[in-house]
Amino acid sequence: MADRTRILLVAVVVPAVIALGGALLIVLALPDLPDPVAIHWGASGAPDGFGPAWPSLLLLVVLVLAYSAFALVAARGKGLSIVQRLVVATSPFLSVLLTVTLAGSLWMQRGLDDAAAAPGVELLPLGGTLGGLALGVGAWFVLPAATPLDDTRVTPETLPLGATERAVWMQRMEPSGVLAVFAVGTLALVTVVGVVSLALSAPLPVTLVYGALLLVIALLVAATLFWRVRVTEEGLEVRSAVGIPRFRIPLADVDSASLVEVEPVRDFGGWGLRWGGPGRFGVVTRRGDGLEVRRRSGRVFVVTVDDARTGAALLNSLVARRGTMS
Amino acid sequence: MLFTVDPGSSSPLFEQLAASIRGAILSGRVAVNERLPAARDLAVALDINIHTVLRAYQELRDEGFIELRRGRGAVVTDRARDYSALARDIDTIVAEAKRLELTPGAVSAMIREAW
Repeated sequence: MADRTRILLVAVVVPAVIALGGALLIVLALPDLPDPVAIHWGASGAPDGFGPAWPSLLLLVVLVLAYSAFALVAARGKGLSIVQRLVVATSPFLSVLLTVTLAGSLWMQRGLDDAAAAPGVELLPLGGTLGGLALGVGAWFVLPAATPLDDTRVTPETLPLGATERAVWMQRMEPSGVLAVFAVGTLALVTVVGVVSLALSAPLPVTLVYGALLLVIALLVAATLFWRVRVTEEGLEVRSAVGIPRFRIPLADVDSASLVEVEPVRDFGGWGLRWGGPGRFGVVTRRGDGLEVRRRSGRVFVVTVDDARTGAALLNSLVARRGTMS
Repeated sequence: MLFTVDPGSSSPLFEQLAASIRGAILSGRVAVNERLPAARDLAVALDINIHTVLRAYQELRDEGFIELRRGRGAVVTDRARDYSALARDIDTIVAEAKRLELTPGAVSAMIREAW
């Protein structure tokens, strides 16, 4: 079977068949379901939320198809990176989990007159997770093995540094205007809506606690949009504008630095603080130029940043000078 | 962007720093409206006095390369665009002067005379 066919099968066909099967079960069960049905269960195991059945049907189909589409788009390009392989293999896992949970919880309510009598469903997410994992692991082996990506790595020439010369490279990373407005706007909206809806429904202390929590989350997300990157005598430092998180690679740990072309989804499965395959970690805010640092331990750190070529060149020059001086 | 100073050199540190930033602006390696690092951060990174950095920034402001805005720090102005054509002409002059085996001093004397 061709690689593309295998990817299509795992990313879209299998998950879609499972989800549509689940949707069909829901449709078949509809005449026997109480109205409204139980859609949420409390900590005690008894249902505490009720509503119509069709949103579950819609949710199942839309979520599975949306992730399938994402996985297919993420798998584009030549070869398949280990991250892409993981993103694609997650598709059947997600489909099984959602189908078992959503279709299962409705299927168990057939024949009931009142949804309040619905049985506990605590086993469904567990069963769905286990079943999904089994299929996901199987899918992993059906997918073509991870291939080494096109090597875009460029190791720049070192800069002519004098023995007493001090050189630093400092760069800010900011999202482009539109993205910044969009991200900050979304965060503000989510925070405000969250706090207002809490204030309307919950007692004041609860509102304050959750409001503070929402604010912290909003700040953390904002913190990962703005970064300061610098290369100095000390090594590489990548610091969020807020100060935390911060990543440091001391000069003594640096083996070599290069310029790489970063494709966020293919290389890191998305944006943010990211795992990019074994021993590879990235701070990814956009596609394009990235500064890649290989440590002496073999681990690799990548940060997307403008003018990464100069940063890599300086880092290599400092490492070389340190070597000749000691 | 890259900042360099050499304490082993005879020219003052603030001049060296200003020259390094000016060079980056003239060559187009720094974009218009790009913000320079906060003077304090740059001073710490280069292990020099903050007043040295501030003096270099003031020099560049006087030359019109950057603006010092309260709250926004040092921002590269669009004056750099006016200089890029000149920078190319200077490359031509330097090449011609080298061909004629003239010293930089002789060439600057010629430029001063033509002023």
